[in-house]
Amino acid sequence: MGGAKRGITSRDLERIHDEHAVAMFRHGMALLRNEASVRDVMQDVFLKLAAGRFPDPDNERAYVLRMVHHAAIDRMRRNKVRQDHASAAPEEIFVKSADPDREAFRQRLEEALGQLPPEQREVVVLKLWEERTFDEISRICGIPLNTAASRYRYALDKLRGLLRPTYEEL
Amino acid sequence: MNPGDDSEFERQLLQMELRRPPAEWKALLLPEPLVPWFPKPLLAGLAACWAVIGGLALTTPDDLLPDQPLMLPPGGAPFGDTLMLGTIEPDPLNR
Repeated sequence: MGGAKRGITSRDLERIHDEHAVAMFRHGMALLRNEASVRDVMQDVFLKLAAGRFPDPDNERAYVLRMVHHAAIDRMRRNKVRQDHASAAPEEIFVKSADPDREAFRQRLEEALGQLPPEQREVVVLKLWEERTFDEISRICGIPLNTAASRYRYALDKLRGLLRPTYEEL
Repeated sequence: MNPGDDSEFERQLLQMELRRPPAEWKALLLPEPLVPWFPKPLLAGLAACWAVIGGLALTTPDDLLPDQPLMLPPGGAPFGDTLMLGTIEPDPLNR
């Protein structure tokens, strides 16, 4: 899954941004839950792409998401060493709703996702909202396919347990 | 836990929409394109000049090359007392 080395134009970069930036942002937020950190991660990724890490056109989405995964994991490790990650309150990853019931469910979901380990949260977001297959998720996260599937299963069970009182009312 | 329960729960979750990156990030994320030291039109122009000069140097006969020494005929000047500007004659008023 290595990127082919060839010249990349500013037009290529803009196209990659337009096609994948939303998915990259959502993936980064699922892991880091901090907008400034995600922006730094995405800047790193685009600098690497500009330096010649041109993704395989057939697997472009998986390739850039894998780059986001690696950059975000690196950042989380550095933050753990510096002990400053816990000081920042996690930011919201879902759009607010005008409907009070849906907004209550969104807030519960934000809290419930916050209780998942980042690697489970990442898999849930990739599978459910980004509609990636377990095969793609295993390549993006660098884990075996069975591990991707079991992380999703554990995460979904945990979310269901945490959200059951709320979502059954809707 | 049955599969139907799963898909119903997943549908419920999918009603929530994930946020999008702020629009102004695009300008921040895309790095400035590097300006090359030697733009392509300049290099193409230089290459064309070198090609023309090289072609002329190869096709010009040796005796026409400007750095050949001027060979004078043996035995002095061929025109006797004449110069390129005319003949040296005594001034008729002084006769």
